[in-house]
Amino acid sequence: MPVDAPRNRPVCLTASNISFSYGAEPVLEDVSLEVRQEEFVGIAGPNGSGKTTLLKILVGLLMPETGTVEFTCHMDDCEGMSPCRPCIGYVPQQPVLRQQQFPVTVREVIEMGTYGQSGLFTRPTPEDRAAVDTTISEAGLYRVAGELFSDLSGGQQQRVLIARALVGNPHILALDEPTNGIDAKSKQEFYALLKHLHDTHKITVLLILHDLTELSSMMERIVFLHHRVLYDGPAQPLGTKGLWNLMLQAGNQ
Amino acid sequence: MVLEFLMFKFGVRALIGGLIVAVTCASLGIFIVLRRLSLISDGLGHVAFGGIALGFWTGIYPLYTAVASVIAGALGIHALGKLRVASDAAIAILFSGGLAIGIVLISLAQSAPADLLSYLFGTILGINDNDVYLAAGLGMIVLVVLGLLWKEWVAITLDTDFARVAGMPVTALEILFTVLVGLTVVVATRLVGVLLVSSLMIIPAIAAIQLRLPFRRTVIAALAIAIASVVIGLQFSFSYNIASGGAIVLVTIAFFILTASFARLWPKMKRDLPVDTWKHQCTEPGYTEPEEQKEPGKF
Repeated sequence: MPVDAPRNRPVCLTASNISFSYGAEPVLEDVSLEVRQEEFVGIAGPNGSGKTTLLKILVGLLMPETGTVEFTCHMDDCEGMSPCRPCIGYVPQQPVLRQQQFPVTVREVIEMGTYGQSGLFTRPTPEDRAAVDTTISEAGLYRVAGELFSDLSGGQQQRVLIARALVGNPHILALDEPTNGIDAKSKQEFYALLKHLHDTHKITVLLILHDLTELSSMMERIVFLHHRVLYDGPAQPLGTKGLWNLMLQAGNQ
Repeated sequence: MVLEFLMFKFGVRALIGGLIVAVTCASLGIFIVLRRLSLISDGLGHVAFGGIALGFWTGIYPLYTAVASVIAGALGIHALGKLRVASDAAIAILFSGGLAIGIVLISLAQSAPADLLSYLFGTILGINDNDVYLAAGLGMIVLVVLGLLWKEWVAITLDTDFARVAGMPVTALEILFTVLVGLTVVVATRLVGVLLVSSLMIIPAIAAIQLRLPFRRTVIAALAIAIASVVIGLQFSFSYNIASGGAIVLVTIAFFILTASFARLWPKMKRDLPVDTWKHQCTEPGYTEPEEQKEPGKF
């Protein structure tokens, strides 16, 4: 299905003919995807449809059995890298950080976001620390910067994880069901924050979400997966009803 | 008299060796505990025992064969992981395998060498200059590698997926970490013995974690607890003529009880104090609160 997203923006990520299976069970079959700069893309689909697997392949956590992922974000420091590490900010579905009570402060978690760009055998520079300070302030986390991460609420923890993903100034922000397990008010604040980031920082957002209403109202474009791409197009004409129909269609397959 | 054991050369050697082991074990211990790999040092300790027995059987200096065996053991754990064997099961296989090899080699030698017992239970007061040099050399290697790759260990411990996405060579670093644990086990084996080696790594770290401090301060607390345990344990051992390894480990357990009790009582004590005293302040170094505070969520 043709993508109606603004065609004048350059492509920053191309996934071609991706296939992946866990054992004999195929999870992704011949999935192709093109993401343009500043797009706000929602990835939807029923449980087990391959959403998380696709996102993990896109950020380089899994290697596809067939197919390629190509980054064309035109940054000098990532030429020839696939995945292009400096371009990606990743917020995982259930990070170990949220499952265990680590003795680590909010500031220390956000500082991790600078580690990828500095390389092995280096220490955080004054510039890295300044970037952490700025992100803490911008994310409204200054009150809790010295608190232990495990002492925060679910919503605040997700805010910290986004700040960690953003501190390295990525071009693409990939989020895997970030609102799982947080209350409705925190969810709304979280979506507002994402929208604000997208609008002001011109960042490309790839977001896996179960909430069909939020998907249809917030996204610029929706990719609906059920092992294959069932729909890839603008969110507007589809709406919540269209997404429910796709869910039913996927259930009947 | 306090620290009277320092009047003797063996006491000085014991203290130097003990401090090297304390610092090395506690530094690694934080990462081991937080990665839920507390049994890995026990597993590698038993592999080291197999290596020590091999040394006695072949006539090679036992600590050299122990180093070789723990490196092989570290690679073995990761090879088993590739075969989709869970990490605790992989450690259990090594645990039993190392011990079994040791027992078989001892039986081949007809009688157990008397010195073998010192490796099982440790003889910190009986170590010689060579043992101290070996401990210093291996300890230095472990601490330098640990320090050079500090932020990588932190990232892998707190969020492995994030470390991978950031481009860190996670698998290679995990293997290197297991080798570092193995080398530390060998160093500590001569001092506190195979059976107690894991406690020196794990208990100071667990005791420090109870305090719920920021990460860097937790590491410093673990180091302080480990160093204090060695000094106090040696003093008890000398004063009351009891086994040094056991005394050191019992002191670490006493520290754990203290910090765990403190962690539970402190919030209660804090609640009973005047509120103004506990007005929130960000104590992180280098952080200054912005003059004009923005609304949370506004980037």
